[in-house]
Amino acid sequence: MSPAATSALGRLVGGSAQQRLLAAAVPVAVTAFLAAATAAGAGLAVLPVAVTVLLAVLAAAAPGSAAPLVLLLWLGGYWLLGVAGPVSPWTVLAAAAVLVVHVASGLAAHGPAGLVLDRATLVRWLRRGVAVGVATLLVWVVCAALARGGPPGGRLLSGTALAVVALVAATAARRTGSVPR
Amino acid sequence: MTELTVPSGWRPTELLFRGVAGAAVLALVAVVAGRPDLLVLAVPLGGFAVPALLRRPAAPPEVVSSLGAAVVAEGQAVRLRVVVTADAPVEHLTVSVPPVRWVRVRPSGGVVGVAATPGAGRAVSASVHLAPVRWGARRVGEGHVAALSPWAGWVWGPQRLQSQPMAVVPRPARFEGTGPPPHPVGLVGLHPARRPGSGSELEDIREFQPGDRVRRVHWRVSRRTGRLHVTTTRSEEDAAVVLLVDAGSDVGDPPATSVDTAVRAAAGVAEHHLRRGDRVALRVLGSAHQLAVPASTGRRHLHRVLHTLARVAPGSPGWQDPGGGRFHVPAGAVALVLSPLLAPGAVVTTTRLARSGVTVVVVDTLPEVAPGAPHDVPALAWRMRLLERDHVVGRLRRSGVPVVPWRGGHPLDEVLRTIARRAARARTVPR
Repeated sequence: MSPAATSALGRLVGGSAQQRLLAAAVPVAVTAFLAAATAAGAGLAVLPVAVTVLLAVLAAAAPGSAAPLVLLLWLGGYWLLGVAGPVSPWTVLAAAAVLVVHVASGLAAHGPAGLVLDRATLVRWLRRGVAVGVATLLVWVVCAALARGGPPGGRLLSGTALAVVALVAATAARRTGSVPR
Repeated sequence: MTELTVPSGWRPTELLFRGVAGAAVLALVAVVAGRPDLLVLAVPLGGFAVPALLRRPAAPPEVVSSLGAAVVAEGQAVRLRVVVTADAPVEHLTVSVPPVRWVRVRPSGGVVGVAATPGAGRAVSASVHLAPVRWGARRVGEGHVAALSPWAGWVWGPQRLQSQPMAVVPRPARFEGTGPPPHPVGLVGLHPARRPGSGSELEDIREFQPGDRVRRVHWRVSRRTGRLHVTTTRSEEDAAVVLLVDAGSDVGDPPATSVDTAVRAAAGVAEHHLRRGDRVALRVLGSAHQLAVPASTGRRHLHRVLHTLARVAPGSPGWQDPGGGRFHVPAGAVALVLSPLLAPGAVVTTTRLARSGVTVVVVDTLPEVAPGAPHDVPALAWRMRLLERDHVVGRLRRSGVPVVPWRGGHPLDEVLRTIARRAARARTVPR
């Protein structure tokens, strides 16, 4: 067994109860995502669902690796190909699932498997999660409103999306001087 | 152990990379495919990435780890404090000090995470408690430390924490000797001597003689008899005890091997006698290093004895004393040889001391060892070795050297009392 696999297995088996809880949050959130996608019109094909579950387990076992990113991109593709049509209310649940996967993986990667995060850290990240969740909801409201507006709204949306991407990229370039990684 | 140390400096975390890459890809696909719902999915990722990017620290922090005490007793916990000082804001500090042999770590696993209030130029500290459970010279505190910037965007470390030396002094075994020392000598101490002097123990009341102090006058007897009487007291003296710890052969299972027993028993006997004002000397036989403490008294001397015992390292059974087992023993001292009597060197030293007129008592520190299977060759060899040892013990006893097992000091105390009684009888024979 490779050291990475041993480390991942050790994290799942020998980690603190809190770390196991954080690891369990990932598959639970992915299940919620699949439920939201199904409710929004995506079919439940065996192979994609199996791949999703596998990626969820990998992300839970190795939160400090690239596995959570692969899982999130896979979920984005799953949504893109499975769900058709305008902005659905189920998108909010799917976005919440993405948020949970992102935050749970980040908290689990704060330290080794035996780490127990203190209350202050958990409260801090809960507040941040709520703030970002509210921002997500606002974006969904704007997107839903614009989507009803037809083609002009679509162009506005595209412009907004490009502006967001440009903002993130510009910030990254300014703060790091290079691509982070 | 897996090497975890990475070059110092702040690096982007997976969380930041995931946020930037995930948000960028989903937003681009949203634009290209005309899918605003993907933009909604990108917001949770970008929402954490942007503040993290805006708070990139520049200079790496400085880390200092310090032990609360460099010398501790067995079972005593000491705090390892790790302080990280950074010009850049640090949000979370993680310290990992895995348990090592004979050192318990609290919290269990030795991993501690501490949240810090984000702010530049602040020191963040985390503590791990280390409790050594066996005496000896140890190195503790080796581990790793890592720090996270606000929003967990940048990580510094894990950086290695260097181990630090710690002397774990033995916990003295309980020894409450009640008997007088066999040969009290000297001018000061707590033991009543055989000759009169200015002590506190009453010896007699006699008529006043020129030179007697007025404060010694016993007024009640003087009034009754009509002549001045004074009280006389016995002088008080100290005793000297030489502890010879045999570290040449170490048998049994830790933390209760023969050397463990010898070291803790020596600590207990030394503590008892030093508390009574006696002089105690220590000499370690067969240790990997030459260890000896000359006879002295006082609390500071007890610390010296305990620190020396903490440095005992079991040597080889075939050790030879460089001095041929000849060393200075103070006049009137009792030599206590704490040994399992398996190394020839300890037996030779004991015999030489006894022949030279020193009162020697052997404290047997051999622990209970499981006999093993009847036809097991090592077990058979061990039984033969024990037979040889029984022969040695018998020879020592026949030559007048008491051999007593260490059972919390009771047999030893009885033997010392017997020796003291014999010594007193020998001195009170009328001429």
